[in-house]
Amino acid sequence: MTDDLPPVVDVLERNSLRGQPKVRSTAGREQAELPESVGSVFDEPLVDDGEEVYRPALVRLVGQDMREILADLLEGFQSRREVLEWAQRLAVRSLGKVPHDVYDALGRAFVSRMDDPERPLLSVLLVPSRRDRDVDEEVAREARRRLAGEYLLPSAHRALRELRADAGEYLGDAVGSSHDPLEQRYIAMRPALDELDDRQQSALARFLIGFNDGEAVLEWGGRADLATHGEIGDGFASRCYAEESTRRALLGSRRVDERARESLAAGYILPAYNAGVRVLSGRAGEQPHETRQDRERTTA
Amino acid sequence: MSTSKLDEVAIEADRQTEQYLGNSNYHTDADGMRREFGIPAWDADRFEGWKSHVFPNLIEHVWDGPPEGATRDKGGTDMLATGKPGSGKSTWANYLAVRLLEVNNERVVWRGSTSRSEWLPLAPWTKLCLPASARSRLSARLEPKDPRQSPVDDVPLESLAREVEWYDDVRHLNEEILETGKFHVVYPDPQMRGLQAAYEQADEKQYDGLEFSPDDPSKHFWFGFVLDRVENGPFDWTTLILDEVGDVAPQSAQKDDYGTYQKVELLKDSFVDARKTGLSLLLFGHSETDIHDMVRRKIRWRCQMPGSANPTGKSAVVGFDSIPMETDLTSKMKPGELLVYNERNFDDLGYAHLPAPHDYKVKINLG
Repeated sequence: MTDDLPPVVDVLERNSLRGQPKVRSTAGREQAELPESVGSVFDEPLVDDGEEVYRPALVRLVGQDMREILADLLEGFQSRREVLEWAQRLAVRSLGKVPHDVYDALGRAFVSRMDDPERPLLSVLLVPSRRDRDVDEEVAREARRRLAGEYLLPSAHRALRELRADAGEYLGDAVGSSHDPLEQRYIAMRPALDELDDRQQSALARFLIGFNDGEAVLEWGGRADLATHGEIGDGFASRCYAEESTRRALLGSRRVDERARESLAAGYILPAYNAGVRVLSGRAGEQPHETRQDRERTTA
Repeated sequence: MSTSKLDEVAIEADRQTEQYLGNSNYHTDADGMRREFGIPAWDADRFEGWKSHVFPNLIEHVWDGPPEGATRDKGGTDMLATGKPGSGKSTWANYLAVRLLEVNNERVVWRGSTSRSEWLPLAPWTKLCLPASARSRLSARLEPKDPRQSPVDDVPLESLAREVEWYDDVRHLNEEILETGKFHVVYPDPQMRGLQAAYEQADEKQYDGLEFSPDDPSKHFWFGFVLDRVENGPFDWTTLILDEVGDVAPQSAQKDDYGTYQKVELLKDSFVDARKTGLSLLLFGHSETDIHDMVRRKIRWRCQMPGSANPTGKSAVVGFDSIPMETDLTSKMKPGELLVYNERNFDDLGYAHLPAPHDYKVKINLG
């Protein structure tokens, strides 16, 4: 299967990452040194105390949500699971504007191969102590910065433009009032998105933990539908149940089962999350294979 | 032979309704329509909150909005639907009539035309409003859609719809004949009675060379109808459904002997008053360019029927600074689906099928 990695990761390939996977030893493992300057530029608040804000929805989107997302990416993740949770938050807070390609690439990054147990993209996302592969940390940080610049910023820009048209304008003193963006409870001030965010979080967590029995898998299928706003592929949940090997992975408690669940989540659930948010946000998809045109329409 | 044919095509009117009997124990006309065509009750929550200005605001008419936050379009609304023949425009128009009756208890007025009768699905609840000036010469026939069948002549008017009433002039029509919660098909008065008077009394709307006279083409009646309604009321929610708007207010309107261009100006200037006086204008045509851009500029909502591409990107729509759709959605849609949009957002929707009760067209000849 040929790889269609995002261009930034090609840089890593050329820097000959295809070395031997690092053998992890539990003894004498160095603590990861988190460079102190990573992400600190995002610690400054975007809105000062007392500053009046007339478009709270936009400020909340840019000020709080996307900054957190960016900061988390630049810091690197402590586990594969954290990557998945971050990708879920990204889908919602970008209003579904991150291109499908990114989620597809993430999905592929979680698939281990015999000769390549940890894909390069995943390696650069993880902090040094959690990687299975040797990567020059400066290269990894640069790769993460490039990901942020090439994919996240444009998506945030598009989300902002969409929200710009919809955001109400508020007059009057914003601080301390219900319009104070730092006090706004909802993502981009949209309760429906907040609700979807909750559902996505809990459905993902449930899936990664694993299931007690077949019934629990079936029950989860309903949650997946809600969490993906109906965009989860036809029969994903039933295949989870019916396919022997998949079911073993969902019910099992071995390390390899955990990994398998992470791969399934990255490959199937997260792309459906992104599509679901996009559908909920109501804009036409730029991708020709968008399923929106096939779904049932709202009755006028 | 002829009488049995008449029996076949006579309308089964729904007379056990609140509007017909004046008794609120009975179901409303709108309920009867919804039940007949399987239309679920109106539920604004079906639409996402931040898109409520796309379709719900078009349908739900309010005089006042909330004090802050959500945008609320107040007063009458206006819409232009375009699409090729067969794309479902007339069915959509019927469907909108049902919704407006249901949600606002409106007075819905359908433009009656001698050549078309797309209102037939709603015939069991229709009040036919005919000009008294044509009473002696008026005749009705049923023409089959299949031209090989024979037409039915001299059809009694009462068999075409639930009620038939005659209006003396446009004031009488607006004031007394039109009723809230009912669906009316109004045929224009070739004598233009009352229109010139309404025009002369309207202080702020005076145009050089504008006159309403019996020599005018009868479609000019509609300019006067709108004027009389916005100037003199009654100011209950009223909707005018104007099919084939391209022959009423065409792009090619000239300052001709009938003052067509000036009347289109009059219509354009009436839009603001329409909004304020609770008159909604739903216009239907083949394409944007059928209708004079003076009028098009004032219209806030658009519907694109399936089968042709919707506009995208920068403004291809007069009066819209930008179009919210990025791709073509409607080319691949089927009849029964459509795209509703305003400058800020769009919604793709489906609606019910409202079939006509028989395969004939109603032709009313005003003599």
